[in-house]
Amino acid sequence: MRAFNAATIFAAEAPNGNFLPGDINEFYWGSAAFLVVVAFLLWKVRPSIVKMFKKSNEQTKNEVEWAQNAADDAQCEFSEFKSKLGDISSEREQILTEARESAQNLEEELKQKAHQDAEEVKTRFSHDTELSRVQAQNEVKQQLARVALTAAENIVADSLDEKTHDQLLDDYISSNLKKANN
Amino acid sequence: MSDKRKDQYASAIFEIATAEGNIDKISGELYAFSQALEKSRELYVSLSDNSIPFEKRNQIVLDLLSNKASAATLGVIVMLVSAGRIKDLPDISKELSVKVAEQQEKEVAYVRSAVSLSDEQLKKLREALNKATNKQLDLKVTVDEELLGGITATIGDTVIDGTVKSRLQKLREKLEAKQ
Repeated sequence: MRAFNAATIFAAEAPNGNFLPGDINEFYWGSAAFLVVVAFLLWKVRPSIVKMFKKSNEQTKNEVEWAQNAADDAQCEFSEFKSKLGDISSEREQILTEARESAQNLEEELKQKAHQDAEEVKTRFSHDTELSRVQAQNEVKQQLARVALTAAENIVADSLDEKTHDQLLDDYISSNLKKANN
Repeated sequence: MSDKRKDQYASAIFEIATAEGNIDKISGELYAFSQALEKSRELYVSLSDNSIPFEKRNQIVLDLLSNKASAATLGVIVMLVSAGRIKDLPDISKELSVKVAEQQEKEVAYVRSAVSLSDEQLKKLREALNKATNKQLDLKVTVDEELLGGITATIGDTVIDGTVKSRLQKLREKLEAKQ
């Protein structure tokens, strides 16, 4: 209503007293020309525009389809990746478990080996010690035997007088005679 | 010197001694001198060293034996010295003793004693060893002070040991065996 009132006022104020300014024929001719232009445009340009829109529409549709496919592929890949990730995770767990077991086994083996080595060293040391002890004991005994025998030789040599020599000879002779009699 | 040559020397000396009719004495004297030679390194070297003039070595033999040994024994020793065979006298002497003993149907007994034995002791010892071995023995006696006391006799492969040294040795072996 306000717009109608404004248009009425505008028309009343125009030099010809009409709603449209200027000559009314200009209006008719202008309108006719406009319609001709519009008809021409509809006749010549519209198919191209429609074709262009169709093409654009087709392209957009293709692009949407491609995007959809890409999204699907991506989704598939994502799923696959996720699945693989799951496998990797499980594999990782398995590897870790195996590694832990190997480490434990290795630790046990090393402990056993160290224990065995320690036992061997202990046994060898004990054996060597015993051997050294026996050797030292034997050497001392041999030394004592030598000293005792040397002392005995000296004592015997000093104590052997003519009488003892004669006695030794008599013993030798009587021992041989006894053998002869037996 | 090879065993054959030693045997030949022993045979030659045996013939000389037999010809002289004093075989026991010559054999005994040669054995005694060979023992002296074995005991005295200095005497052995002096008589067997060919770089020393023969006259000097001959004089040593004469100085040692002229009044102690028979002329035949002296002659044999001088002959061995001049031939450079004196170092073989111990072996030749043993071979000669065996030959003499064989001739008399005896066997040689090598006796080592810590002290020298009287004739009476030798007689007793010979009788005892004869009875023990059931053989007629010709004793070759050597004095060896290292035996400390007692006697040892070797007849062939048999050793009859009654020395103090061997008893001490057995004692040592027992002591060491107990270890």
